[in-house]
Amino acid sequence: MTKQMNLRLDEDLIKEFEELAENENLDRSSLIRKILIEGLQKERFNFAIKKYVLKEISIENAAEIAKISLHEFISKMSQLGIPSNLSLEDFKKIM
Amino acid sequence: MNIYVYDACALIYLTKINVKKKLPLIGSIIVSSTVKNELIADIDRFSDAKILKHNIDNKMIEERKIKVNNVISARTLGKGENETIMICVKNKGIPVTDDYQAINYALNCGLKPKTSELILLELLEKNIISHKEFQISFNELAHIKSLKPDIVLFFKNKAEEIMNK
Repeated sequence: MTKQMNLRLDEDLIKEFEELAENENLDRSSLIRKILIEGLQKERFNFAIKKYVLKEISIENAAEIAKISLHEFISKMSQLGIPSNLSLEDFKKIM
Repeated sequence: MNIYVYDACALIYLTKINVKKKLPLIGSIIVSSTVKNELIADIDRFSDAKILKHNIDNKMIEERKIKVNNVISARTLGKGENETIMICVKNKGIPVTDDYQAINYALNCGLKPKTSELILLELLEKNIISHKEFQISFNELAHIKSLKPDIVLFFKNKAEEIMNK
C-alpha cells in the first residue's frame, strides 16, 4: 500500500531531479522514490555502524538496525575497512 | 570435552578463514536456534552461508534450543547473542564471540569468553595448526576484521610466546 507524501523542494533541486530522470528514462516520482529508498538504507547502515563503533550496541543489533543480514553487515564492514570495536585492552581482559 | 557456544559473527569469521573444520578438535560446536538462522540467512548471496548450512546439515554444528527470559536478557545484545550466553550459563559452556557487548555481558555472567583470535591461538597451542598456518589464518582474519596494528602485534607476539615454550 502506498501513501501520498508532500514535500517542498528548491526549484534547482527539482530541476536536477528532472534532468536525471530524463537521462535515466524514469519518471520524476520513480527516480525520487528510488533515491529515497537507497538513501534510507544508507542512513540506516551509517547509524548502525556509528552505534556499533561507539560500543553502544552489538554487531547483531547493528545488523538488525541496518535491516540486513549479518553476512552482509560483516561484508560491508570489511569492504569499508571499519575495524572491530574490540580494543587491545578488551582482549587483555579475557586472556 | 569443552562446549563451545558460538555466536554468528565469530563463526562467520572462522568460516571465512577456513579453520572451521579444525574446531571440533578443541570442543563441540554449539549454536542457538537464532544463531543458526543468522548463519544461513542470505544463502543465495553468500558462499559462507552455504558452507555453514552444509555443516549444520551434517551435524558438525549442533543447534541447541533455549528460551531466553526477557527480564534477564541484555538489551544491547541481539537475540542470538543473548541465547549464546544463556546456553553457556546453563551448560558451563565457553561463549565464542567477537563482539564487545557480548564479551562484557558474558564476563558479567561469570563466563570466560573467547574471540576468533583466541580460538586461533588455542589451535596453535594444542598443535592442531602449525605456526605457519596460524600466521596465514591470522593475517586473513586481521584483514577481514580490519584489526588495529597494536592488536595484530599483540597476537603475533602471543603466538611467538607459544612457539618458544
